[in-house]
Amino acid sequence: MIIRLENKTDVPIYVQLRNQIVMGIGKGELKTGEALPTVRQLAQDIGVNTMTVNKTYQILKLEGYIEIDRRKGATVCAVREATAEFKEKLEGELELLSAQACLKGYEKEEFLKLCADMFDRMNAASLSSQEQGQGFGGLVF
Amino acid sequence: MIFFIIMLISSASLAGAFYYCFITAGKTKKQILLGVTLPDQVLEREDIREIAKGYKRKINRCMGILLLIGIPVHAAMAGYVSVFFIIYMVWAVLLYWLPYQILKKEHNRMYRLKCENHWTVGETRTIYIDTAASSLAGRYPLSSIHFLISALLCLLPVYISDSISEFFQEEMAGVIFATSLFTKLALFLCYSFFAKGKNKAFSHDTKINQKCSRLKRNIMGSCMVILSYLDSISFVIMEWGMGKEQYTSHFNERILLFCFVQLIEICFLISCFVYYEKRKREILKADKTPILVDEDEYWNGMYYNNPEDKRVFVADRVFESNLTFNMGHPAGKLIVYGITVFTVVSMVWLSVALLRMDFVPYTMDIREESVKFTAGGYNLEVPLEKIEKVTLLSGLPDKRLSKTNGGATDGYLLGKFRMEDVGSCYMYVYRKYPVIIQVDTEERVIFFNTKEEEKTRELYERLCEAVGEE
Repeated sequence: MIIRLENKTDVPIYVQLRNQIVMGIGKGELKTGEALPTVRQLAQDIGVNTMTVNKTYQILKLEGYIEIDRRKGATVCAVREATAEFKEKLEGELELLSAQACLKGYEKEEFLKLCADMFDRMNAASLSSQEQGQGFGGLVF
Repeated sequence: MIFFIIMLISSASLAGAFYYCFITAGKTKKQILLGVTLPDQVLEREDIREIAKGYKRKINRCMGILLLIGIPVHAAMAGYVSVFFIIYMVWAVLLYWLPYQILKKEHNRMYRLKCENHWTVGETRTIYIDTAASSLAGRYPLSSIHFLISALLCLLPVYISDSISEFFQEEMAGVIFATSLFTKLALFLCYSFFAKGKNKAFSHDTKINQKCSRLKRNIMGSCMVILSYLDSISFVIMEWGMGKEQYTSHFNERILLFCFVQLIEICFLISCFVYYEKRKREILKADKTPILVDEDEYWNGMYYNNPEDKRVFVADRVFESNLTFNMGHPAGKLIVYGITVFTVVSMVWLSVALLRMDFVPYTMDIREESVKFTAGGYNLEVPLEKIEKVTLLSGLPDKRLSKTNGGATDGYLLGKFRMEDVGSCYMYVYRKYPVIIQVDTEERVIFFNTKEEEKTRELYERLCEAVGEE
């Protein structure tokens, strides 16, 4: 998966990194069971402190997108049931987006179509990398 | 003569390496010309080509003049060591500094042109990472344990010597041994850099990034390991038999063999770099979706200055395969300024020390209760009561001599030495003047002479009188 981070925005790097990884999992670019780079290597590649990447990984772990094993490192988790807490968060964000779209003059159908298109782009990682036969060069992580 | 040949080969290699680096900076690589990233469509513009052509012309002229100056510089080797050292250092610094000034000037010109025309290549202030390529980091075909084995190989000559103390009493033994271990450390650091250094995302195609990442680790990692073994072999050649009687036999052949293995190392390293770059170019040529990021704002002034980047070492974009420091990082600044200050201070200190050794005359001051020998940096005061014997020689004893600390040139022997059957001795001897005073004390033997035979004889007689010898 290619991660793209911008230095020119006000969004902190750890937030950008978290969003990119979540979108990568959502689009199926990161498969279930696939290993993420080590904290040190990713920090080296981005050019940030290891604490920044560690923070991202801890957030992703808390949100249930990845699991961290001492031996295997960070790996993408299988899709899990949405919690009530997540539903509440989603509703809050959708409410804000709906308000903004409404204020900018979007019609309901137009807004819903946009949401549907975005949702269709997602290919949730329901299949593991082995099942899809697209492992990373047969490497064992 | 051997020293002259070694210096000539070193100078030729140095000039060749600098010329190659500076002349290739004038060729477009990955859309970078003279350290400036330019869009493909402007590379054929007349003004761009004119700057590049002018740069190459200036570099050729500058290097040609510096090579011509190099002839009298090397001829100075026939005279005083200190004079040659100072002239050579100035020449070596100019060999880099003058072409660098040309490059810097032309780089600034090109960058101004780019800014005036608002040319950009790809995105700015954006970072791309390929998670699949990053996950491969740290995997090497050859383990880092090889560096430990090759370092242990350097210990072999110490192990087979009669005793460790005799081994390190040999001239330059400590320096050679320390250099061999330091080289292993430097190669290990390079190995780690290739293993765990930044993985660049060249393409949106993950397979391309993985191929480049594997290539870097396989070729350069193996190269560092093989270099480490070759280096151990060359140092074992130099150290084998140190501390033993037969060490000095075939010494010249030993040096030539050492240089030969070192030459193989250099050729091997260059071949690996060339092969790596060639293969990488081939892989990237097949790429249909390259990632282009314009980093020129961090490279303005020919050095990397990015406070947002936490890396201290970064790959140099102008001199490929070279590393440079991030001047936006406090550690990067500290290292660059530290190395500069250390180098300048060392050079000045060494120049002064050599000048004193070459030009401060040897004196023997006979006082009431002691005799004081003075020379550039090597002063010694001996109480008269400790002097056992004073002899006037018509030449140095024909015995094996090894330097512990001091200077040994065609003109003089100065400092601490060890002489076969004699042991520790101090030398204040001009080689061309055979009349020498030998002073035997409880601790050591001192050899002394001056450039005037009459004066040496007079000092001998005065010393005999002071000591109470007939």
